[in-house]
Amino acid sequence: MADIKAVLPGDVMDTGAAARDGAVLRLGPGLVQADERTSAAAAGVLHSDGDLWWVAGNRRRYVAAEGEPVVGVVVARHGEGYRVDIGSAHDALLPLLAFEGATKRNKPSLAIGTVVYGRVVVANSFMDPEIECYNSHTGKSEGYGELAGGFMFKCTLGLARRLIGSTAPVLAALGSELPFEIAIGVNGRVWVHAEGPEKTVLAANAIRNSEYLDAKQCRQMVKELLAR
Amino acid sequence: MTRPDRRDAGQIRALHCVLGQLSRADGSAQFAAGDSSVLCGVYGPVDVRVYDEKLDRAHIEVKLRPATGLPNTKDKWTESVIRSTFEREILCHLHPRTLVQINVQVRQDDGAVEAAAINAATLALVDAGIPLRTMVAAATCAVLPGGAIVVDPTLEEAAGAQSVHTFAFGGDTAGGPLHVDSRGDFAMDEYNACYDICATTAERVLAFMRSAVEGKIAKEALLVGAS
Amino acid sequence: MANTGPVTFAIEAFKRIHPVEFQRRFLSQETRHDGRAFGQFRETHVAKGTVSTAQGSSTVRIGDTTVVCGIKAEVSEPDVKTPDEGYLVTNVDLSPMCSARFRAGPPSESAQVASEHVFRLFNQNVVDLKELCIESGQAVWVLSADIVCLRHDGNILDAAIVALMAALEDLKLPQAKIESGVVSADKSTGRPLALRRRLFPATYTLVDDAYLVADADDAEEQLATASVLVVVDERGRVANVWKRGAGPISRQSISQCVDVATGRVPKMAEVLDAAGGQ
Repeated sequence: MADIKAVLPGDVMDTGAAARDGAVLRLGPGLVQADERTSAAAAGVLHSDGDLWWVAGNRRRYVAAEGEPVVGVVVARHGEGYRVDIGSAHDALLPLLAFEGATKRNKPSLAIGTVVYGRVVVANSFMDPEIECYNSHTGKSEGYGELAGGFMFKCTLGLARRLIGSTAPVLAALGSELPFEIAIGVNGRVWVHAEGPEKTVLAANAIRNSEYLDAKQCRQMVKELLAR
Repeated sequence: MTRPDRRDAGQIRALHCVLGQLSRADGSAQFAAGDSSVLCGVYGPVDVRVYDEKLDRAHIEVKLRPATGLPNTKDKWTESVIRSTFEREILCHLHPRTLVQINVQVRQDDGAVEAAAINAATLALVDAGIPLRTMVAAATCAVLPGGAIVVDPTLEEAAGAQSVHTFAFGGDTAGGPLHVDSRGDFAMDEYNACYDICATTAERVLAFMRSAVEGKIAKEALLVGAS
Repeated sequence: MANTGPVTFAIEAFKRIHPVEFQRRFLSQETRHDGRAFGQFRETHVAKGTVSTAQGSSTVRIGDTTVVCGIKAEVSEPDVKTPDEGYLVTNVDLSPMCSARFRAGPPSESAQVASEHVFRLFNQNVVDLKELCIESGQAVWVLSADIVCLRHDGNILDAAIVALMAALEDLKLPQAKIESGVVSADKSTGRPLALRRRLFPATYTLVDDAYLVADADDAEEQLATASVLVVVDERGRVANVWKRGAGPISRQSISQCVDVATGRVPKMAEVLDAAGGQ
């Protein structure tokens, strides 16, 4: 990563040759266009992939985006669905039938406080987000649904993205020591489940501690936690 | 000319800032210039009260707590200044029907605390990842009874000054001031001189804030690269 | 003239439905909806001594904006830190009486901000708190200035500043004596309070990000994106430049506002002088 390009809000972006060719640029998160100029709106590292440009920065508050996996907590039940707290400005709607194999007669009944793993299907700033716990194309759950047992904790969105992109060394370090289940929401909520509360808390702590550690430090940290 | 704290007239106090100090806020920053220190925590975009909900943009709320005692009208005045300074710099239209809450806690007031609050708010907003049009920086200077202009006055200097001038600028100081508050007994020559000094100072503050934020970004980016 | 009725109705409806577009039609033609030029202020009317129960009072009208200021002088103990200084307390009241936009209850933020700003302008700058001393460490005057808005049609801050200035000039402080710890005041004789300077405000408002207009009324203030308040004194010195709001007002524009405000001083001073008094 020799070409780390940190940008701050207001920095006018030099899109280089791409813009001069008159090619279409696609602006991702953290970039805005005003008066023929493209400038950064958030602080972070400027990335580009072909004609797609975005700014990757670490945040704590989730803003829902379509297709992203999230971990949420059921906070209310309505006639047509559940309201799920996914950490964004507005609670997400989870329709009663958005589960694998759910029919009008036979659908899961979730208590308030249940942790669910879902995928954002509707996300725009003018509507409340909507999530579902299955893939509506295949009808399969694909791992989404109620998360029973285990423990949910919050972390930064940056750490959650690293965990889910499997670039986080902590998961490898942890996985070689003890078996556990994990559900990572890019909304900065992670659910872990291991054998017994002790191991579950250990896994959760290890992940939380790992934010600013490299691979070697992660292995060391996990070892120390296990030795306690 | 020497000042009570042995600074030159054009010398600001030592700047210090910490980003992301508060673990539960969405973004936070502490900004200190000498003994004036301000802590700012930002929440946003979060759910908004129905009364404040705006269909096309985010609502901005500023809460300021003084170093001692309960908030009074003086703090309301500062709140209104901070809000009006950031109203346009925050890209409110990107998060309609939400609230961006800026909480400012004055830790210690030794002059130029409004400028410090604005600077802390900028850093906290950046830390929270709230979309901004540009970075905002503020600076204060005072005209002393002899006509000498001192930058970044302490409480003692400001109390004895003929006039005190606070300016806030966006990333480009040539684009005109975002906020101006000049008060006291002054001539326009003095106002213009203070304007120039504050514009230069704001640029320096901006450079300081930039290096602080870049440091944090680099720290995180290196980790991604290493793993 | 049979068709004037519907036309008038259409304009009223247009004004209500598209307030921004309504104002823009005027502003783009270099004029304003009430016929004023951009730099033209509404006429200021000042009457002093309008509240007989107050020690100093005034009524100020700027266009349709009307405020009444009454100053009540009371005796109190001084602060230990400043034993020979009195107090000035300002309160700007924007009640539902003056505009439908204000709610009953505790003072709104705009009222609190106006109170605070007026206080900062007058405390020590105009009113020398040492003048309010009756007996050092024993008794001082507290001047409670209540500025009540009766009708709100924009530019409340200018009106409040003019009103407080006029009321202070109208103020008669009773002769007070202190005898064996008891303060007695003779209300029949009064001395005027020596003021340090005379303040003259002028507000410019940026409407729709493009037009800088003087002394905006309520309809224009609704579309304001920024405003700059300039307060100058009779010697041509500036007391305050306060720009609020996010809209862009260039450095040059602010300087021009100060020039105009300074140029207006003789006329405004005449208005204050002609206001008479008790």
